[in-house]
Amino acid sequence: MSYTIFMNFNSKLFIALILGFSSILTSCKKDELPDPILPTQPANEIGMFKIEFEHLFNSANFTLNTAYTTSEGEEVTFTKLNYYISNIQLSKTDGTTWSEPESYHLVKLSDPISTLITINDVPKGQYNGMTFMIGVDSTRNVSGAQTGALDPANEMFWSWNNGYIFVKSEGTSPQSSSGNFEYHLGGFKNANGSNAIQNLNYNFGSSTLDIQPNAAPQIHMMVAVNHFFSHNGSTLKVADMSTLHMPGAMAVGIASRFSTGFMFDHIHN
Amino acid sequence: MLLPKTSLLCLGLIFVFSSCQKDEPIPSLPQEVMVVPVHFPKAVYDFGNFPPDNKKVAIGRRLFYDELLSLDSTISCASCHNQSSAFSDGGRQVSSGINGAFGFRNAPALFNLAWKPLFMWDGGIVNLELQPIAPLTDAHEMSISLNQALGRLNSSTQYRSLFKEAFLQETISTQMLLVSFAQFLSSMVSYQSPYDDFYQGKEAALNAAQQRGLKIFRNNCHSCHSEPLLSDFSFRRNGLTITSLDSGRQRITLNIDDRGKFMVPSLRNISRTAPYMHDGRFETIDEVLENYMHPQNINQIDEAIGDGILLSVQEQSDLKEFLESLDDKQFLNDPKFSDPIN
Ligand code: HEC
Ligand code: HEC
Repeated sequence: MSYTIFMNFNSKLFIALILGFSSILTSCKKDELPDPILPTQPANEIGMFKIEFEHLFNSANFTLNTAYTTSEGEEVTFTKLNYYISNIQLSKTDGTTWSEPESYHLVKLSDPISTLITINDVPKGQYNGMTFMIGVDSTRNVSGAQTGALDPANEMFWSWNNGYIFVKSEGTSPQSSSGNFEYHLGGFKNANGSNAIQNLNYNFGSSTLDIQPNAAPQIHMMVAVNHFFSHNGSTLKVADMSTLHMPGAMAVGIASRFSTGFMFDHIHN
Repeated sequence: MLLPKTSLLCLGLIFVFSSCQKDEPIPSLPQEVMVVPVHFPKAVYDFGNFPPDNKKVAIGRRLFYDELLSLDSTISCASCHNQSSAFSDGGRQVSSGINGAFGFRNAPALFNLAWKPLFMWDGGIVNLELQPIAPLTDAHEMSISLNQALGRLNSSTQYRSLFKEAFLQETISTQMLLVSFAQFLSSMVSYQSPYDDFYQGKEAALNAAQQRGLKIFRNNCHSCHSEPLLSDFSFRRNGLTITSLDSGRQRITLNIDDRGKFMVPSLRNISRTAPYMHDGRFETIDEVLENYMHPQNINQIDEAIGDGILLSVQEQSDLKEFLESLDDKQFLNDPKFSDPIN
């Protein structure tokens, strides 16, 4: 849609004005399409839950600035590990689902609070499954300036080849020729196999997530960080490649192996 | 600029009524309007959730000229994009940023950015709001992190009050910074060259040689440098040798077929934007035309150029005269875009 009006001005110029067209478009759109009627959710119909991410390396507690040995015998010390968890959705046995609106969370191991995600305003009920993404959906990768977890000031954004860095891991390793490693994983385009978004799907099995007005249930996830370097015979050796700063097959490979380390453990209701 | 503000607002009101024709209350009117030429297609940038207004445009303009936004406070956007060169880096092949560091590409002219679907020679930037992040944070350019830049702006009482007035927020955020830049950048519209007058029906705007030149242009150049924006914003190989330094569009798509392709630049204000091409390899229009006649590299050259475009001496001269009609003197001298402080 474009709204223009024409005028002939001192015979030299024709000028069209666009008057704050976005605000007008919204107002006109509202006339045509009424706002969706959101189900009213009185306080006694909603609750909250938390997801805790506990990080391990070869079954030991994982923290930054600690040396671990990969299955390939390399020593790695992380100084940074950040990743996006987005588009969290819960499902019930009857097949119905609930999706968190504006669901973008940045987990940074340097900031312990961020490893515990709180999700509010969830319709009460028993849920038995959850899906989320490690990464950011393609739409938000190409939108304008974002806020919150997606604020580019979080330095999880590629300025020269736009798109979010889904997983940023940096550290040191004696096996790296520079002494350091830096793997920035991202890429949302399907072309040339460079879509690194990881969609994960969990069934809580015999457990249920019971959302109630005055409860604070918690989903406990285990993240085996060692999967970053190896799992099921697929490996990454720091000695072979110690930096990666762009989308592509390499990033997809590491991201998908890393995602196998995200395991549902239990729920406290 | 051309009309008194009040008449613009009146027009705006008429326009709101006639476009919506509903009896709902009128949405809060933006204080100001932006001018868009009627002979242009619909713009790409839609201002997101922030309707254009002159307060934001004014902040963007100040930021554009402010050296505060580089690590050692020596470089502003305008250091590499100056108005008399149509906001290219007048005469420099590649620009120098902080501590004299050199980048690897020629700084393009800046105008009509609201019509561009992608930015940079390789199209790696996908939204006008995201564009400033690259020069701000690039170690060869302004070398400042967004948090550092926001810290500096937030400790300036002047910027805080300007932003507060424009956004009704106490703390300056990344989004406020980027939106202000985008609004100023999109206000930089070049549409008043003699060519534009001709395009809109004023025959006398081009002399006979320029009119002949336009015909030659339409036969040979138009398929890429399409009117009226003088670019179709596609990625093409126009016959340059490909250097190992720069794979062009391939750097973004990782597709080998895109190796050596660069985004077709607009040719408006072309007499001011030398040197030419993504790496500034040509000093003059003559060298550019020579390359279209006898391409440096015909391997995988775009078929619109083939083994070269045949142009007689007369045709070259007419074409060059035509290219001069693309200079928009109003734009080059418009005080709306100049340094607001000095
Ligand atoms: C050190 C020189 C330098 C500085 C400082 C600089 N730029 Fe640029 N600018 C360039 C170069 C070089 C390019 C092309 C880069 C490329 O294509 O990879 C460019 C490209 C652009 C483009 C894309 C134009 C197009 O048509 O695709 C925009 C917009 C832009 N700059 C705006 C800005 C803004 C806003 C600032 C300040 C925040 C700024 N520049 C600071 C050198 C500079
Ligand atoms: C096949 C598409 C195509 C055709 C046809 C074409 N060009 Fe270009 N032109 C380009 C591309 C792509 C670039 C930028 C190439 C680069 O920098 O690597 C360019 C760059 C230029 C530049 C330099 C602009 C700048 O700001 O650096 C000029 C001048 C130019 N073309 C003029 C012409 C003229 C005149 C014709 C007709 C004789 C023509 N072009 C035909 C694609 C084309």
